[in-house]
Amino acid sequence: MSLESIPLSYYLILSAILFGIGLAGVLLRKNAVTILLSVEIMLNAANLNLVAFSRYITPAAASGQIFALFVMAIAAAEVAVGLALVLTIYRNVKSVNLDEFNLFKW
Amino acid sequence: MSNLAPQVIFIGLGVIAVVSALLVVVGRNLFHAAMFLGAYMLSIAGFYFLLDADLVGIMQVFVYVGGVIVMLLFGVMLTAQMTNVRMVSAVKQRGGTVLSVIVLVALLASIFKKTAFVISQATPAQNAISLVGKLFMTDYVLPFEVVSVLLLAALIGAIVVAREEGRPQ
Repeated sequence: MSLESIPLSYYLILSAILFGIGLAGVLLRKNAVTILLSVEIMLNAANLNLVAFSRYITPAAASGQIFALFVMAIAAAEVAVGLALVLTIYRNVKSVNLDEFNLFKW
Repeated sequence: MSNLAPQVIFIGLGVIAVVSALLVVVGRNLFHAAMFLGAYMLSIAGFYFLLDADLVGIMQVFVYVGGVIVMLLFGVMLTAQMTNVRMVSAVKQRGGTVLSVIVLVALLASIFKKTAFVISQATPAQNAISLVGKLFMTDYVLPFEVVSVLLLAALIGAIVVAREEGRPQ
């Protein structure tokens, strides 16, 4: 029972901070695998938001938890496809630096 | 159990989550970054248990720490030769990016601080796992089936994309 001792806004602010860290990673890093890791950080921060809302606003219905589970399934699919793409490009370009992924540039 | 225990757990898990997320983003060693991402995901699972969401916490450990991290480690190892590639981030607009991310987080935090959320005092569902299972099979059966098709399509797509071309099937 953590309803009175920890306000809901603490969870929201914490997940905003984690989301910001992941966003900075996506924007600043050039390594494709690091960017995939940062996207996972952002997805987890959003999931924490959903579960916190579910616990504090609608504790009797588990709809927030169901949303979080759906997000997990889609994140797993995203990682599989993203890694397959990175591996294929790495095989062709011999690099994971996004600056060198310029095959489609004219 | 004293009254302070949830706050102590929250602060401890929060410190672990923020520090490991930062290490994932700023670290130069990809293998270490994947390991710190595992620590981050375990701390998020701890938050789920703190929020009485047992099923989501267990699924977090199974799917993320058990599955996604292993898959990412394969990705790290299969692209291992890139350690000799220059990993220095050469983004020109680094200062502006950091500043705008900080402004975004500060804005969100001030919004969350000012908003008055309607907190329900109802007790959480006692048997959350069976409740979630029933909801998956009744109210959310269409999204559930769509997600299963999506997972299948992603699996086949990943195999097709990652398969080496020109090799006999």
